Amino acid sequence: MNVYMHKTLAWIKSLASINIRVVATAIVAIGILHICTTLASPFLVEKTAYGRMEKQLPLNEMKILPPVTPTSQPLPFLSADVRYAMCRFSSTQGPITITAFLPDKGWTLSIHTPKGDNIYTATGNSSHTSLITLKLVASSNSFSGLTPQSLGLSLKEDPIQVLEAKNGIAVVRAPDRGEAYIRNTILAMRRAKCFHAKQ
Amino acid sequence: MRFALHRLKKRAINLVSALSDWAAFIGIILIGGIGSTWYFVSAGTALTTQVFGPWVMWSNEARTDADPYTRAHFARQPTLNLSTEIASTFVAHTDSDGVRLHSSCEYKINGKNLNASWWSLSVFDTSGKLIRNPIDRYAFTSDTVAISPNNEFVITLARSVQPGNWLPTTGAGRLTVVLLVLEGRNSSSINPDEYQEISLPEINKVHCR
Repeated sequence: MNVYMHKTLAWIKSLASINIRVVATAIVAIGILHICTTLASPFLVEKTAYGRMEKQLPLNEMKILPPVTPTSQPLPFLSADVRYAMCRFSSTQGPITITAFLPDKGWTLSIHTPKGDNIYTATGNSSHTSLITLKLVASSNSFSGLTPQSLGLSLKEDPIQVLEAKNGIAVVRAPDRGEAYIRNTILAMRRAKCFHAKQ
Repeated sequence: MRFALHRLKKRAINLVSALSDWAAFIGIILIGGIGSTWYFVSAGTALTTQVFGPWVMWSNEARTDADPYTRAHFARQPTLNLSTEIASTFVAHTDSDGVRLHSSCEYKINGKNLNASWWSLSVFDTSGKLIRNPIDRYAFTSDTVAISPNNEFVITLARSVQPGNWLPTTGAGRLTVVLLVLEGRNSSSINPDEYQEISLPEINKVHCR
C-alpha cells in the first residue's frame, strides 16, 4: 500500500513540475490542427458524388438510371426503393431548364451542387400533381427574361422558378412501388427534362 | 580522453532526451488534433447530430449553411442526400441496446407508421453497399411495408427466410440501417421536435448465431 501511495505522490509531484506554458501551447496547437484538419477534409476526398457520376451522365440531358441493385449501385447509400433520373447540368453556356412531373407523395426533384449541397427540393403530393419548372442560371445577376406578368400576360401555368447554379446534378426520385406500377412510374419519369433554355 | 568521452556521452543523452520530449510533444498534438477531428466528424456531437435511441440524424445534412463538421462527415461519403429542410435521414449502426448491428444476428424493427408523407427503411453494409440476396429486396417504404390494423409494422432483418416484412442480410457482416423520412404529413417543413412525438422504430435483437 505504501509503495502505491509513494508512487501516486511521486506522480502528483511530477504533474506539478509540468510547465503550464507547454501545456497551453499543446492545447492551442491541438486546437489549430483540429480546425485545419476539419476544414481541409472535404478537399481531401478522392471523389465526390458529382465526380463519380460525371462520366455516367451526359451533359444537360435527363437520364433514367437502371434499377439500383448491388451490381449497379452508382453511389453508396443509394437506396433501391426508388428509381432515379439524373441530369448533370452546366449553365455556363446559358440557362438550363429543368422540368419534372411529381405525381404522388415520395416523388422529389432535387438540385445538388458538385460539393453535394442540396440547394433545391420539391416534393410530390397525393392531393395534386405538380409540374415543376426550374431555370438554372450561372449568376442570379444576369437577366433571364421578362416574367409573363411584366409582359402583360396572365399566368396560365405554374411559375418558373429561377435558381443560381453553375454546375451540378438534378435528381428525380420516384418511389418504386413494384412491378404493377413500374410502367406508369417510368412514363411519369420520362416527362422530366433537362435542356438549354432560350434566353 | 576519458573526460571528453564522458562529456560527449552526457551531451548525447541530453540530446536524445530533448528529442524524445519534442517527439512526445508533437505526438500528443497529432493524436489530439487528428483524433478529436476524427471523433467530431465520424460520431458527431450534440451540436451537429440528434440522437433518438439507435438513430442518429445530422441536423444540417446537405444544407448550404452546413457546419464544417457536417460538411466533413458527408464529404467522406459520396452521396446525394436530401437537405434536412425537406427530409430527415436517420442512420443506425447499433440496436436499441447499443450493440453493433451484425448480419449474424436477427433483429425486429418495431415501429408505428410514421407521420410523414413518405418514408423508407433500407439496409446496407457499413460501406453503403446494398446486400446481395436471392429475392432482390433491399428496402421497405410506406408504400410497400405491410402494416397491421393497429398502424404498427415489424420489419425483420435476418439471414434466413422470415414471414412478414423480411429484409435479407445474408453474410454482409456489420450492418447500417437507414431511415429516410420525407416532410411531415401536416407541415411543409420538418420540426425536429416532431420526431420525439413520432417515436422512431426500435431495433431489437432476437438472437445471434
